[in-house]
Amino acid sequence: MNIVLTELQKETLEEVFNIGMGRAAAALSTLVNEEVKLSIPSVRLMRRKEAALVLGGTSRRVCSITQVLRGEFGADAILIFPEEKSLQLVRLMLGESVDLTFVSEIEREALTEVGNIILNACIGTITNLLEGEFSISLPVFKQGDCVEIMQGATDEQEQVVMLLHIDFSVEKYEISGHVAFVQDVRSYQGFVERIERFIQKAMRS
Amino acid sequence: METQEHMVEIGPLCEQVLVTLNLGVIVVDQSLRVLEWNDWMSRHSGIARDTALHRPVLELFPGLSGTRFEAAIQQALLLHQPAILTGSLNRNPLPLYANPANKHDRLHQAIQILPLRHSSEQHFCVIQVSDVSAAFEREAALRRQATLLNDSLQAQSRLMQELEQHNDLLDLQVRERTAQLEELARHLQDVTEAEKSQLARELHDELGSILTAARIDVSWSARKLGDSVPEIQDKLQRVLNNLSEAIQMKRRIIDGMRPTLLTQFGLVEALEFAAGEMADVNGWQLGLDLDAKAQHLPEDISLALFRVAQEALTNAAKYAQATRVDLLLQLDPDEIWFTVADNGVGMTEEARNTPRTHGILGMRQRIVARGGDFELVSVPGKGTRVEVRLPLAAGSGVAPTATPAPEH
Ligand SMILES: Nc1ncnc2c1ncn2[C@@H]1O[C@H](COP(=O)(O)OP(=O)(O)O)[C@@H](O)[C@H]1O
Ligand SMILES: [Mg+2]
Repeated sequence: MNIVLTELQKETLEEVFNIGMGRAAAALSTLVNEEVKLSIPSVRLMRRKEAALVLGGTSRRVCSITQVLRGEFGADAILIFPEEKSLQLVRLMLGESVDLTFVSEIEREALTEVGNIILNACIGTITNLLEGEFSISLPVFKQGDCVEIMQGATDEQEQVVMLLHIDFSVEKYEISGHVAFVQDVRSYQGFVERIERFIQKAMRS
Repeated sequence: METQEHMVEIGPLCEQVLVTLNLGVIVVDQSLRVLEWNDWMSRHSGIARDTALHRPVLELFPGLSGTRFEAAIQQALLLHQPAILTGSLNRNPLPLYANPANKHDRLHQAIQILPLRHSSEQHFCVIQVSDVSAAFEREAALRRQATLLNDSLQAQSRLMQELEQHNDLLDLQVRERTAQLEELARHLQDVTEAEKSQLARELHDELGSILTAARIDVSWSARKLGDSVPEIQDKLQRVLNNLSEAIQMKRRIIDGMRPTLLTQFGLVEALEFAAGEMADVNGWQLGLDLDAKAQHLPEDISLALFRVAQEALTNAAKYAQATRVDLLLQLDPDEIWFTVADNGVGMTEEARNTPRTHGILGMRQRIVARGGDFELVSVPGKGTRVEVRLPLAAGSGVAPTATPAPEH
């Protein structure tokens, strides 16, 4: 099966995601009283195995926040940041001076909230595109390597991943990570059709 | 109609559950009006359930308009997105207290905002609040401990550093002082050698000529006197004998002070001669391997090596009961190797570890003062070997192809 997006589909997705990111960045900025910038420089499609490798495989420790989207379209939305960077980031946001060697409960909660804001923006973008009834779970925090994290509830190798590169900056501090939408093939086909329809509609208006 | 029966029972049960929950529960409708406000909320907000019901939640919490709290409720209602609000990032947004009467201790809050869909037209939102003050306190305590630990670790490493620096300083001082002492010892030896050779020259030039003149005169007088006065002749003969002895003694003294051998013949021949004489007296078999290029070494180096040889040979004669002694002198472009070895009784461990004796100490001192290495290798029953390495200052070495140094 072909899992490539056309140039037009790709550009459309990047644009709508960036609109969502603008809202998330505004929310984060008021929260931490600093200017927060968020952007999605690229959207790619790939198989799950490949995505796990692109994200660093088993060699890289990451923090992840997952929300599950169910409805006509089903996907696990996973935000992934390098462990060390995300720690530094959340400590910057919390204004804590003590560098503990582990992620404390408060830091973990704060990271989860930040992830929740970003993921809601991404999920909102998708549900807006797809127009339908969805249920969305609360965010869940996990630490581990990328393969562990990408291992969803279903162990289906055929899963398709829409991988969004995400750049995040607070003060002079930059961190880049990824949002992965892990979906099964059926969902994926419906998804591409919806994007096409959205593009047609947009071009007519 | 079983299901209806259940409905009837579950209604009041749910109410009871809401009352007993150790969580704050607020339910709002699409216009943000409060539909449910449980007991926990009344207890910690100071706002009674009856007061709260049917009022817009932002009227009850006016400080929250335009904040993430409001935005999250709107998102839940419109987009069905759940949200969490942490106390740390949102600065405990709700005015909730352990005891609302005195408003001292604001609760540390963890808030969840959840969409609730009744039908496709009717949307609600559940706001759930838990008190995480205890966890927060635990973590604050942990942080304080971590800070203390960090501070004390830092203090400790600072102390270690200071200690190391101090040690280095002491080390440096010891090395400086040792170098100074060595320099002083060398200077003293040089001064002594210089004084000795000055004295030797005076003894030779002044005393030597006086004694010789006196002997010539006495000899002349004795010849003139003949046998005329035998008693005087006897006395004169005794004076002559004494003068000869004095002249001999003067020569011996001069030799001791400034090894004539060395000044007259150079190092290699002086060593050959001195060792040969000792070997004759002590009945040693003598092995000599002396580099001829060493003949014209700088004076202070020649003298140092000669003195070492004298002491080593004297020790071998005094203590070793050896049958064979070997001297080895080897010259490299930038250093000299010198060895005196006997095959005698050797030294006991004890004798070697008693460095209070002046002979061995003196040898070591002379060599170390010139930047060389001195080693005494001795095994009981296997003999004793004195090993010396001396560096040659650039230019002072006698290169194999160099023309012989001019004699002065
Ligand atoms: N070649 C040698 N063979 C055996 N013993 C020796 C030899 N050289 C030195 N010793 C021992 O080492 C001691 C120290 O020697 P030295 O420092 O020259 O002092 P001194 O000759 O005044 O006794 C001697 O008393 C002797 O016991
Ligand atoms: Mg001696």
